[in-house]
This record gives sequence, C-alpha cells and structure tokens, in this order.
Amino acid sequence: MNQTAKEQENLLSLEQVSIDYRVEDGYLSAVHDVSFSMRKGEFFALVGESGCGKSTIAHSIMRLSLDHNERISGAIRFGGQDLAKISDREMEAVRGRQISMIFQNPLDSLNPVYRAGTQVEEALMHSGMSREEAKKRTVELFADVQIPDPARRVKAFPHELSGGMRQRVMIAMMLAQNPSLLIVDEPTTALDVTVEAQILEIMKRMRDKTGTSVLMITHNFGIVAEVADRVGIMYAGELVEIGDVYQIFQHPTHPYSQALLGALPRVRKTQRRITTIDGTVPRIIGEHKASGNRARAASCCA
Amino acid sequence: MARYIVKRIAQGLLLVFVVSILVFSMLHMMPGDPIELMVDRKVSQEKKDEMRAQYGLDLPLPVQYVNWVNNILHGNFGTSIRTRMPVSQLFAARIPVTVELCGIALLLELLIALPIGLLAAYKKDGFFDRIMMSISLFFAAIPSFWTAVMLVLIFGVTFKWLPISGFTTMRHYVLPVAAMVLGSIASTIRMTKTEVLDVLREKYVLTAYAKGLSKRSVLVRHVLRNALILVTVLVFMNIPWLISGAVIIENIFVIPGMGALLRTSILNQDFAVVQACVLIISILTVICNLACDIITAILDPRIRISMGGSEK
Repeated sequence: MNQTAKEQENLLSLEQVSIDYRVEDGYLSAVHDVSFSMRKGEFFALVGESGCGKSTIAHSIMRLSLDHNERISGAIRFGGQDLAKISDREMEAVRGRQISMIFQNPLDSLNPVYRAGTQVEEALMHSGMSREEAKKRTVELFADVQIPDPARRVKAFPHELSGGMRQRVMIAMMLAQNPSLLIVDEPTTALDVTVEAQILEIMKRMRDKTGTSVLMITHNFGIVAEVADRVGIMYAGELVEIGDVYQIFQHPTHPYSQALLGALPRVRKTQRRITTIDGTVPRIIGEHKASGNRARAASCCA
Repeated sequence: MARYIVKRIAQGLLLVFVVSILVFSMLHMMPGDPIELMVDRKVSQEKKDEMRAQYGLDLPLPVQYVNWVNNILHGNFGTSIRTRMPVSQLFAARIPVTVELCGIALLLELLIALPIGLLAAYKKDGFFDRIMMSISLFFAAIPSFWTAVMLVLIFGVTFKWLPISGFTTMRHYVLPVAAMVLGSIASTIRMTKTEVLDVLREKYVLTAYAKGLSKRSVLVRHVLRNALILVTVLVFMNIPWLISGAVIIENIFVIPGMGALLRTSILNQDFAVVQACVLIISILTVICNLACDIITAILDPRIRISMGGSEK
C-alpha cells in the first residue's frame, strides 16, 4: 500500500518556505527555508519541541495567523495554487472544503453558545447542503467518529461533552466537507492517554475511509510511531531531517534527532533520569545563521 | 430554565425587601423633624402632636414600616408633606419624562458605542482605534455635570443655538441627552472593544475560519453573537447609572422628571416622596438585574445549565 501511495502525485508541497513574525525590534524568524511534500493519503508527522515553528507552518498553510503580522516567503503549493499568494477570498474557498484543521485544545475549539450538532451542520450547509440534509448527515458523521448515541449528542452543548467527545465533534466537523488534507495540531495534548489512543484510532480509520491525508503536528514520538507514515523533524525553525518513520526511529542522522529520541523514556532500561536537551529554542531575529543551533546541539550530543 | 427564573425572582424580592427596610430607616435617621418644617413656629405642641398622629409618625417604627409597605402594596405611596398631593399622582406626571430621557440616551449610546467598539477591536491599533480611544479616555475623565454645564455654556449661552432648560420640543432634548450620552459612552465603547477583542482571540473563531466560513459570517455568527452576552450585561448595568445621572441632568436643565422631584423633596425633607423615589429607583435596579440575568441565560447556555439544573 505504501508503494502505491508513493507513486501518486504530491498533494501539498512547501518550497523553501520561510515565515517571519513582525515584532518590535525587527522580524522574528519562526520558520526558515523549509521544504517538504506530502503525497495523497499520507500521514505525515511534523515533530519538534515547543517553539520550533511547527505550529507556525500549520497555521500558515491555513493562513490562520491571529495578528496578521507574519511574512511568508517561498511557495506553498496545493491543488495547483500557491496558498502563500492567493487572495483572502480564494483562501476562504480552500478552507474547510480542501484543507481543514483541528486544534490543540478541544475544550475551547467549539463555540460554547451553539449546540455541537449545529456547528457541524454549519460546515455542511456552507458547502451547499440543505438544513434537513445537514442534520441527517451530522448524525451519520457523529456515528462515524464513534460518538455513542449520536442522535442525542448532536443536541448537546459543548460544555456537556468531555474533552475526548469534543475532539470527536471537531473531527466530524472538519471532515464534513471531505477535504483532501486535514491538519491536526497536537490534537491529543489536552486529553488523557486512553482517550488519546481512541482519537488516534478514529483519525486513522477516517483516513482509511475517506482517503484524507493528514499532516500532524506533535512533540510526541509515541503518537508518531503509532500513526505516521513519514516524519519531519524540526529544530529552531528548520526542518533538520525528513524520512520514513522506520528510518527515523532506527537510524536518526541529525544530532538533534538523535538527541530528541534519546530524550524518550524507555520502559526496559533501568535509567534514573531521562536525558534532556538543555535550554530552550533560540530566538532568532534578523538573518538566520546556519550555526544557530550548533551550541545547543553540541552541548547535549557530545 | 423555569426553575432558574423563579429562583432569581425570589432573590430579587428578598433584595427589594432589604432595600425597603434600608430606605425606610435611612430617612428616619436623618436630622430634622418634618412636622417642624411644615408648620409655623407659633403652632402649639398639641397641634403638632395631632398632626404627627395624622401622618402616623407617632407610632413605633416597625408599625410605621408595616403601614408604609401595606399602603405601597395597595398603590398608595403616601401624601407629600409639602404639596399635600398623593405621591402616586406626583409620580404619574414625572416618571414618563425620566423614562423618555433615559430611554433616548440609552438607545443613542448603544447605537454609537457598539459599532465604534466593534470597529476599534477589529482594526486594533489602527488610526480609528487610536483616535476613538483617546476621545473616550477624555470623556471618561469628565464628570457628566461638568459636561452638562459646558454644553449649556457653549451651545445655550454663547451661541444661543439650543434652549438650555425645559422639556417641551425636540430641541429641548438635545443638550440633556447629549450630556447623558457623553457621560457614560466612553466606558461602553471601551468595554465593547475589550469584549470583542477577547472573543476574536477565542479558539472557536479560528475553528469557524477553519471550516471555511467567510469573514462576514464568522464576525456575525461567532464573534458578535458571543460578544452580545457581555454587551447585554453592560446595557442593563448601565440603566441604574443612567437614572442616577438623570437626577443631576434633570436639575441642571430644569426637566420635570423623577430626578428633579427627588432633589426638591430631599431639600424639603418631604419624607414620603423621597422614600417612594428611592424605593422605585432601587426596584428598577433590581428589575434590570433580573432581566439581565434572564437574558444572558437565554444567550449563554453555560449559565442556563449551571444555575438552573440541567435540562436536555
């Protein structure tokens, strides 16, 4: 199956994408010269620690920056368009129908004043469905994401649902318009481990059912090993390594990847302390220097 | 929902009861004897006692309180010591004036403040936002009576464009309404802006964009709809302030409303009128709070559930 997927064309490709945020003292480089591409039906994971720019990439693909203070250079190719260049109006047509996104914390991703079902119906009606059809389809979607008693749950308000349930509603909402790409930004961070496993299972099943490709942002190698086909490892705004999930886990080549994997707790080894990477991601303003990460990488990999 | 409303009404009634005791005892703690004010010095003590008995002022305070409440419940707010007219009759002429003044001011304030607040939040730190925030800071720092006096001075006395007192033609409304609106609009603009900004930063707004909704439907269906909850609270919280502001404005512009009546009655130690005025204003405040709670419960399902027990 992997073999056939590889022969298919690229669904999304980032070409030398750099993203800077305008701050008081110049431009803060969040992402520098990142290139990668995703194939149709692929489950791609972007891994890195907090602040390495992985969420910035996700938000930039969707053009969902809150403050509109980012500057994107390079090209984000998707469906024959360059998402970095098209107008806001054109972007509205891409969002939801072709690319949709699930956020970190399901607890505040849903609007508290509308019923869960209503919010999914809104997405369906946006793509031209009638209200009655949308209502029926929403119940089906709820059943698809394994929400028990879907006919009753569509009438629930978000605060009456658990975190896991809310994330299922989000998945149902975001898959409602059959997008070809789903971006998930740390979808299970706020959930406990059993719920996390369920959510991942649902996402994998939905991927197999609808053929939607998934771009997952995470810092959790456990999740990566479980669901991803390919992995990109990010550090300080750069994509330092990219490859097959098996290859990355068995033979990480970049020192940072090795350090990251070294920081994983192991059950078998009798170890007292988990290896850590010292310090935090450096803040880079102005020119991006290739050596920006060397000091940190060296200190822990020596 | 019904349980919640009943509960809130019961709380409201309790509040009115406590306020009525306060209003009643406050006036009895005030210095001065109303009978002394009414009659000439030469009147004999017997005559004074007789009058005291006539107004029921010789009875023990709890009895006076019960009598007072009993009368009010029967629509009798007592008789004005000064004018010897039934208080209810005095009110009948004045309440509509105050309601009209406050109503126009409130409506105008919302019509101006809400769009400005929304726009300032949407284009935060833009030119419009900065100008509006400076202007509103300016007006927030000025008390309404000063604004009123300045308006009179500029438009009434210097330019003679508008009448400075009375309440008969539309032209008479302009200055008092302007003074009231300018007095409270600044905080309304600022609070609307803050609330819309908060909502704009909510994750569910991102969700709404992510599912492909246009800017307009996100703003209307998700941002405005949710900001409306606080704005409702704002409006209702504003009403008691408007009424107390009306007391000052009515006196400056010589408008025959409740506020003017309250002031003259206090100066004349006209017990019955002051008591009734304060009581009516506090009942109005309680009603506003109650209405506010019920409307926010309708707008925000989270409140509905947490206050009134779950219903599905």
